Amino acid sequence: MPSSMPATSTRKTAATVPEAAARFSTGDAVRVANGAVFGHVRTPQYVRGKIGTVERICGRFRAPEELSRGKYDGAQRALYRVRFLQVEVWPDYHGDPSDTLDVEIYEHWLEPVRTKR
Amino acid sequence: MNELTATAHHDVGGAPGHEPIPREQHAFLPWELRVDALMWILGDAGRPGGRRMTVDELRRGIESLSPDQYRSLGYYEKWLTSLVAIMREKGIVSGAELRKRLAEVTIAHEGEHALEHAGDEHAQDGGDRA
Repeated sequence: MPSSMPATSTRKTAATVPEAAARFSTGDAVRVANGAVFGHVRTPQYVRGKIGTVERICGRFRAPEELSRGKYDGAQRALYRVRFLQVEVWPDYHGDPSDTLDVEIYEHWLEPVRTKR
Repeated sequence: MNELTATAHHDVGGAPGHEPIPREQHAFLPWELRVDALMWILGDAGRPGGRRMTVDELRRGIESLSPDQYRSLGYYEKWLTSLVAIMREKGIVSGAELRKRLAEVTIAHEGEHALEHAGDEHAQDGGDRA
């Protein structure tokens, strides 16, 4: 049975990220960049502009934007698992207000949030 | 939804659903397995000539389909359409080569079909080719 999607080999070889190589740390509040998007990105539109918290650092990988354009030797970027409150993502969310949603987002999509709320 | 990003018709997370998603798995057809295998081969950096494409390029091709194609094509039809487009974009295969090869396999397939049904007096064109 075929797997759903072949992984890129960058994914297989990526090592655990030393904390120093990542801009954000676990627990940091981050805002997802928003604005016009051209071409292939892995950041879904429903989290753009939203504020979440770094749940973990997943590793370092090449950027999908570059890989999708045939650039296979670009810089590796930290990938974070960012945890959002569902009520932050969906204004009309009716579930438990403590429900969360995790999305893996590359460092170049994230901005620091100075004042936690 | 941000107005500037709302035009990415493949990015449907959170959009109202139009119809229920069928969740039962179907058996893979031989051509679907071949498309899957082809993608693995093209993405293998260890093969002679190196990696020919990445899954990110596959996704770019799929996301570049028209909204109509995106809705109507099946999963591996999208893969195949994208894979062919990326191979043509890179000049690894040309449209002429693809048309020539397609004509060859079409003739070969029709030959096999004729042999299978040789002596079958009820054989009709357009019969079961599964």
